[in-house]
Amino acid sequence: MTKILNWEQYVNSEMDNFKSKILELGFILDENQVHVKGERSILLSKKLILTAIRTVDNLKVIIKISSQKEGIDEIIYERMCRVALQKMNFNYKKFNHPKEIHFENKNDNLIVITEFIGEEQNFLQRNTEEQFKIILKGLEILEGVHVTVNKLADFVTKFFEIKDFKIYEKKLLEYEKIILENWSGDNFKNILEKGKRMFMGSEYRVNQYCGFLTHFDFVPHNFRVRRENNEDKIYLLDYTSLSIGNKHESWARIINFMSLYNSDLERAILKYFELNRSEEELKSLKLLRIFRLFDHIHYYTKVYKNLENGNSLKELTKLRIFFWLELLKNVLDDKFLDPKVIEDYKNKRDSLRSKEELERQKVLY
Amino acid sequence: MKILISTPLYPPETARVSIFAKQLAMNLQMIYVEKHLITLLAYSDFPENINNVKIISVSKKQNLLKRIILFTKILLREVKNNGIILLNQAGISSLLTLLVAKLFNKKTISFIMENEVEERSVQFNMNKKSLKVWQINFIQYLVSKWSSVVIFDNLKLKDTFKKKYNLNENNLIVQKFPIKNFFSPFSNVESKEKEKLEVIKEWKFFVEFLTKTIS
Repeated sequence: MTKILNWEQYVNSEMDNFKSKILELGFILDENQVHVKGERSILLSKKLILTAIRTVDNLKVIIKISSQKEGIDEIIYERMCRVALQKMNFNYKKFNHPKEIHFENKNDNLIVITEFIGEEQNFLQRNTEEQFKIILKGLEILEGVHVTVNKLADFVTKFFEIKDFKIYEKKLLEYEKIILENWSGDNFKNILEKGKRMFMGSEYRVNQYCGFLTHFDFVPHNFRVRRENNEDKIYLLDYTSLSIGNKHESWARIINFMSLYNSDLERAILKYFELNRSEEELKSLKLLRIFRLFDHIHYYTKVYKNLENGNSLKELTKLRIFFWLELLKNVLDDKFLDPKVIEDYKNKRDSLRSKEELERQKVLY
Repeated sequence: MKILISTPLYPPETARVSIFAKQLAMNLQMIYVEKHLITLLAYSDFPENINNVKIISVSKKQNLLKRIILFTKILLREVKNNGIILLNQAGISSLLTLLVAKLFNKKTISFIMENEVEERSVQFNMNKKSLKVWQINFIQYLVSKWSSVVIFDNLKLKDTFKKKYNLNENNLIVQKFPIKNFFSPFSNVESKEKEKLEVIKEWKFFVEFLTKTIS
């Protein structure tokens, strides 16, 4: 329970610290702050995301606050990336950005207030075809930025991390090491070894699709879709996950995510690739799916290590690790997950989730 | 006949111009069948492969001068070895190719699907009176003026170019480019097949039309 208590203490102290300032600026915090509850604690984040209302006109806003260096740096970096993305004049299509209402960084107390982007419908409530169109639109915006000329590279390197095969390879090896330090079973060893071998022998293929703007975590809780002038506009909410790398990194993340949340969409995206993209792209996509799954399993392994025994969150984290490992095994063999595996996982996961987390999930998707 | 395609963009680049270059090379190759009859020269670092098409790429990562020198060196070799030169869009790569083609007295056909002056100034928010836009305009003028034949994707584009650059009507053709870059994963098998056949038919028509223009 230590971790959760620490998180609660952290939340309370930050709220006490910023409450009066937020009021002074003319905003009232919502009573129910879903983004600080549930499994948010395992992120060990040093910033808080709050929802509030502007008193003069009842405008709903998002407030990000932090008094910790790590959190302040993250929010400033995020803001810098957002500005950079807006300035990039070499891509045709663009994302929309929530309007910034207030920014203040005084005495190590940072506060950013942006417009809340409401949606008519949560992403997963839409039908699969609509979901596909939105994903395609978002990812085509990212693919529209290809940094191949020196002067563009000079601009983007100021803001975004640049990743090529060597960087991916280094990360993959780190992930493998962390995973195997904790999970020594043959199952882990064999699956990771197979994935590693496939990835390591594909330097040209990975580099072939590098140089694109990619989003490491392009999943529904990081963007919003709002209907404006008869068009679905995509608002990007997370800017810290942007980098210049293999364009299939963003595709890989959403496909892996949809293996769990909407396998019809997973299949539709893969079918789209088969029908519209080259064989080289399909191969690169598979490699990046492998990379992202190594990353995912490594991330939850680190979370698992930090949780105390007997905690249901620890049990849930272990369940997640085995689920994503199963998906990795299937991706390596060009197979889809058995629907029963997905169902069983979802049932067990939900039985281990707290009430607050179940509530938070409803808001996210 | 041996054909050289010169293109500023090529996949993995995602622009329409890039997709057209690949589909044109692929379809020309499929109709001509013979190996390495088609050569494609592109500014690209890791070009996508096309079966039986010789792809030569010049990296965009080197500085502009080096890039132009290398591109021209390759052109001097390739233009000589090819009978007909196809230019994708009226940019700097087309201008270089055109100059070398003139040197060897080769027939050139330019494909124009975008007015780059408009594209850049509107989409990229560039001042229409800037030096950059003036350069683009001037290159576009030279390419469309000096090409043996210019094929436009649509009538509006042709009229714009004709009026703007005072081009000779006899050298201008309008023929829709059969670019297809989206097959829906939600269509049923029957309509997918129908769509594919339609695209094949369109490309066949386009290539036959091109062959007639060449001859």
